[in-house]
Amino acid sequence: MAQTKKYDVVIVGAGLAGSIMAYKLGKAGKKVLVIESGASVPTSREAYMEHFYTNLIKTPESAYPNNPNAPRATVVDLFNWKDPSQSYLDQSSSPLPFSSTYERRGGGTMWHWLGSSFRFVPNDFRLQSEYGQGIDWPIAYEDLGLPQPGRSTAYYDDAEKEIGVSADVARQTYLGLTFTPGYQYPNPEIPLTLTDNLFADAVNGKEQFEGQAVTVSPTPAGRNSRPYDGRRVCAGNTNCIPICPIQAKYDPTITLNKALDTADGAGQRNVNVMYQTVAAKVKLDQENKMVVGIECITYDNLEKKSPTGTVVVTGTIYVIASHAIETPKLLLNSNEQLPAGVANGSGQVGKNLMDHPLFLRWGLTKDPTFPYRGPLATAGIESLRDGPFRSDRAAFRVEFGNEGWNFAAADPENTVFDFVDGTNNNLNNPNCEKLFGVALLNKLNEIFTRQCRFGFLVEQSPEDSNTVTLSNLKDDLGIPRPKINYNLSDYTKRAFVAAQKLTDQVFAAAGVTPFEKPLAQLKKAGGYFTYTDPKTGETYNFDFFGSGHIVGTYRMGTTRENSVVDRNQRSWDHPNLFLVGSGVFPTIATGNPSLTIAALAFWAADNVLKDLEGANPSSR
Amino acid sequence: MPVSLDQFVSLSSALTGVNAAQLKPALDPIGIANQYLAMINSQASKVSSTTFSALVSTFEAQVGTLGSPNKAAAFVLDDPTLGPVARSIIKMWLMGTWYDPANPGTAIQVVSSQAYKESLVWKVMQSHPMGYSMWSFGYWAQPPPAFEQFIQTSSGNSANGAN
Amino acid sequence: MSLLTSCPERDSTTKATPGGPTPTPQPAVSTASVSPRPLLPVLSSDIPFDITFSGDGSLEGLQHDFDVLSWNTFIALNWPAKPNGQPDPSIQIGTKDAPTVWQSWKEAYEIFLPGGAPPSPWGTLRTAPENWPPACKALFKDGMTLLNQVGKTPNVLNDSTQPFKTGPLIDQNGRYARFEIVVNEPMFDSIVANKLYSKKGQATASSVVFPCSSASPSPGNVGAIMVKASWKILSDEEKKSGRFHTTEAIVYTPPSSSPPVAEKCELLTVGLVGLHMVHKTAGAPQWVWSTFEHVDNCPTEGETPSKPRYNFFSKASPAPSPNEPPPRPWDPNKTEPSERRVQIVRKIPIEPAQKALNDLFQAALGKVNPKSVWLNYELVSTQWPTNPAATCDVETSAPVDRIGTPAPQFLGNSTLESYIQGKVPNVSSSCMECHANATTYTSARPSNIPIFSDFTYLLERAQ
Ligand SMILES: Cc1cc2nc3c(=O)[nH]c(=O)nc-3n(C[C@H](O)[C@H](O)[C@H](O)COP(=O)(O)OP(=O)(O)OC[C@H]3O[C@@H](n4cnc5c(N)ncnc54)[C@H](O)[C@@H]3O)c2cc1C
Ligand code: SF4
Repeated sequence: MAQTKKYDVVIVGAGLAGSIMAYKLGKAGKKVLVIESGASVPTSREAYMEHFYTNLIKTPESAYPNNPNAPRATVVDLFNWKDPSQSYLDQSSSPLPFSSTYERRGGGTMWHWLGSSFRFVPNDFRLQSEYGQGIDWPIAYEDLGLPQPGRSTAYYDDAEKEIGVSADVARQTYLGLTFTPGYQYPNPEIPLTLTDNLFADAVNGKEQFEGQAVTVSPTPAGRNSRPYDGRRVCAGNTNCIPICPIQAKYDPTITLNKALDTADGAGQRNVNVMYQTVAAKVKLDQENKMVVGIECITYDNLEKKSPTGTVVVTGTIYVIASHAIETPKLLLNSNEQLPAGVANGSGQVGKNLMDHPLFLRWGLTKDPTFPYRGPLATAGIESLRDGPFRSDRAAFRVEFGNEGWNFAAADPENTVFDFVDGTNNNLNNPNCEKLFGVALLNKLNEIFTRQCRFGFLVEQSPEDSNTVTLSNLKDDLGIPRPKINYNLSDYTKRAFVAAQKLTDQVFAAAGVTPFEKPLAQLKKAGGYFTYTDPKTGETYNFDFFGSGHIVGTYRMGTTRENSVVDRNQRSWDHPNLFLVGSGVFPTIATGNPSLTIAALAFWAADNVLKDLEGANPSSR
Repeated sequence: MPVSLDQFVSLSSALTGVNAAQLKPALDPIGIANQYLAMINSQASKVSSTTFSALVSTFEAQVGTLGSPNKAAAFVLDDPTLGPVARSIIKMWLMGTWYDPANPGTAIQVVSSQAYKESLVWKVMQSHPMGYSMWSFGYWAQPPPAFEQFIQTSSGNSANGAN
Repeated sequence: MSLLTSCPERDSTTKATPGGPTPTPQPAVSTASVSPRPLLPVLSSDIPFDITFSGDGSLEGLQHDFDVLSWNTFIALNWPAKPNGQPDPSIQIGTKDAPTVWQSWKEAYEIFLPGGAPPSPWGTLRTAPENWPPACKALFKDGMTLLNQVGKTPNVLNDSTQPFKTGPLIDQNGRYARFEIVVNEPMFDSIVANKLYSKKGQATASSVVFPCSSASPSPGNVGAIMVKASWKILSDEEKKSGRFHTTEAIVYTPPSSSPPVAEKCELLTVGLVGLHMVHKTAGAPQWVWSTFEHVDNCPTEGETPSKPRYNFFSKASPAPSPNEPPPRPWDPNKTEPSERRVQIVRKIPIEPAQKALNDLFQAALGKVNPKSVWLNYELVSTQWPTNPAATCDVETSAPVDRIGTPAPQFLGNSTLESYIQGKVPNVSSSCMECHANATTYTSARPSNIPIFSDFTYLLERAQ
């Protein structure tokens, strides 16, 4: 079998975590090989944009062609989520659909991230000790949020600099968040939309919920509010998901390119990337202790099944950064030497799969607020991410969508259908009017200019039974596909009840008329579930979506029994193996994950460097 | 007789309520009306040339009979054969996508990337196509220009509407 | 806020027309091709204020008028200049290769100074940047051309790669192409008067509106003009070829650690390979975007390469994949080996109308001197607004159609937009679409947000 030369570090996955590590390590003069399962980063965004424009369904993946050699979960899969012939994730025996997706291509999933870049709040790291729920992290907020000994910046600062986050410290200092003294975000805050201001005016300083203030705050965002890092200012294309046409939004290709710019004294680059190279198995030495190589399958045609062979990539230290579904799958599939898979002495690999189940509420404002303009989200309610209620129900943050009912109710298409064809999909046309001409234009204008929506990102509790395992079904390269088991706990579901109440309250305060799917339609939704309150006996019907936040499947912890990696993100079992990305999160916390992924990747890079510079990593 | 561009634009204007000069500007570097006409004339539209010609000739005849394009549009929309095609035409102008007249909820294709960008629904909502903004940072903090700046309605169509 | 109540009744008689006067209505018959005028064009050092309407108001007719404007502008801006930068009426363009009018205009580095210092007045001879190492300063002769950009727009490495980091342009000698951006006096004056050259000054600006040309009162005024030029470093053979407009320039490479690039300055002969000229006229407040190229730059996609050699294309096989920069890291000081030289092809062919006009103007230039270097330059096309803003203040007077529905929709220069030459809205090269996103660094508007900078990215460089 072909084998590469031995690098200092081999990294699997050129997404956010992998790119940051490659950049940091390359800058420190290490020789790094990055293995990337998907297509290389295109020179121009034209092909992706053309794909997006002409795609009938504008899902997150709509800008990115399918690649049968490196398949991934898509939103379109969810239409038939129980049928593994239609869905890449084998969810055939899952109680509920796992609804979040990812990309497999150079740059990873953040080609279509929204850009929301929150720090986790201090109590997110100690859910168990504060509220008796979930599990504590082996690290505290201060480890990421304030400079560690010997450093002048905090890891969150480094992450915010790399991503170019736009926000104002004064308005982000809530729920115990603290910052490096004198800290300023790299870019100023992004102006709020008219919808944001409608809600802020209605609730800030006025509304309370379960005894806590309801406060609308601006969303820290990985998009340029100033020319930054050689990239343009956001022009409000309202398209961060699926693709920013002008790269005003950060994506990891920026960091990857910086990694590729690092070179040694002879001008030889420090970081190499092998695209179209799929890691299939992690190889261990005779003692099953050290990783000695990663077996990869290569292919040569992005459009069809086209394996060309296998290659073993080798290095001193290995980093797996292929995100929280493909990483555990790779570890579990490496079961020839250790039947339970690599790094799985704890039995925790693939367990505690989490997402922020996303609960959408939508309505019409009294006066036009002109949605479908500006970045997809610029503000939300952050004041309810922590509080005593966390002993009883999950927390959430509320994101205000600026895209009308685009996500919530497939607009503008559905409302156009309704008033042209005389249907009532979106419930604005109870008399089933069929309009045309100026009457149609006026009706559409009246509705579209008043649409608003909330998205509740619920902090799902970690559960042993929510798992990624190996399916019997294989992909085109013969690698097992991920099998998912996924459900929501009552603790998590109770947050939906609170979210509904908060919606009613805030919508009433802002004069917004709520809209809901009728029960019959709701019951057909993939994410449909019920919750019965044991005290009142009342039953609630809900459905949920994914937030794109895939978390928890190789958690970090305090012992080799309770976790897969230690606080340094090093495998307990294999000292030269690091696992990075949101899979290490013990709980999903109340913020979107990527800023924390980035901060932890900067930290992990420091730890890898220390190990490389130490005499022999195996002695640890 | 194949349907001419002018005939198609007159029909489209009555159906959509948008001024013919906006649908087909005098100086037209994009030619979206041409693309739409070609879409209907293509096999993919699932519309026979006879039906399409009948739609146009009926519309034109009814403009004479009923005295206004608006009334003629209402007439063809009520016709069981012609109505579905007419509705697909309205949706194409609004969405840049051709929908199967026989299955109104089924999209056949986005006519082109230009068509997506030129689709009128974004103007109707006083915005820009998602993915195509020519405005500058922070515009979203202000209300947009008035509806009339985005859409010039067709003359002869009463402002409050139908029939 | 202009509120709409539910089910509004609109008064159909009060409709504002965006973008002001609609261009001339379509004629009954539109002539598809432009018939060359029998007379050769007169070569003049006067910059045209606007198009001269040739009577055909069709898209093709107006395109022709704008193309003529482009050529006349090209002639005027490349007219031999007196030492003070004014055109020298005593010689005809192309009699011999000489410094041109636009080459004495203000380069970006002279305007956006460290610490936001005010630039020296118009007419001051160029001097070496203050922060330069002495060795570079010693090479510099006041007034000469300084090329410090390896890309059209600046970026993190102080101006080192092509637009938006898509990659450098490397010629068939393995050398990196270099770029400069200059502005004319009206544009410079406007930048100075409104203190747009510094961040501090921008913080007092609530909008940016550069002046439009005006034909009256006589003798009229040209509007703001910006010129972007791409140059290639010439080999000895190319120097002798007489095929390029050449100049002696200090080619400066700024230092960087990542990628590792050493600071370097060299006194070299460079040849002009691409020229964007952008003029803000009364009739086209979204500016008229004219782009010219050296005829040897590259072949057109799908056509058999017919020239013996090209500046940015190799006929040898196997050739690298077209329109892809070589892998990183890029080092502009290097002479790259053949496999790292870029293989550029033109994706959108030059149309017959532009070709015909090129023949006509080249014939006129050839009459002055059959060996004129200017015979080796061709117009690619001219982008202009078909729905122009009503006034010079585009942001206010074209609130919806900011870019005025440009024709042609896509236009790129193979040396300046090498890697984005397709036809995809908002990402392929379209002068106006891309420049519509240009902003200041800051402003006097609430929260000091960056504001529309009237189609120039230059103002982002303010310090
Ligand atoms: C629609 C959507 C919106 C989002 N919005 C936000 C947001 O606003 N804020 C936020 O914080 N987060 C957001 N996220 C989440 C964010 O995208 C992820 O947290 C982030 O991309 C994870 O980074 P990563 O580097 O761990 O993984 P990825 O970005 O997924 O990168 C993993 C890489 O590994 C490669 N890979 C996979 N398998 C293999 C293999 N076997 N061999 C080799 N390579 C492999 C993949 O090709 C990929 O390039 C969003 C996600 C989605 C889907
Ligand atoms: S709003 Fe648009 S321009 Fe701004 S970051 Fe998102 S996609 Fe890019």
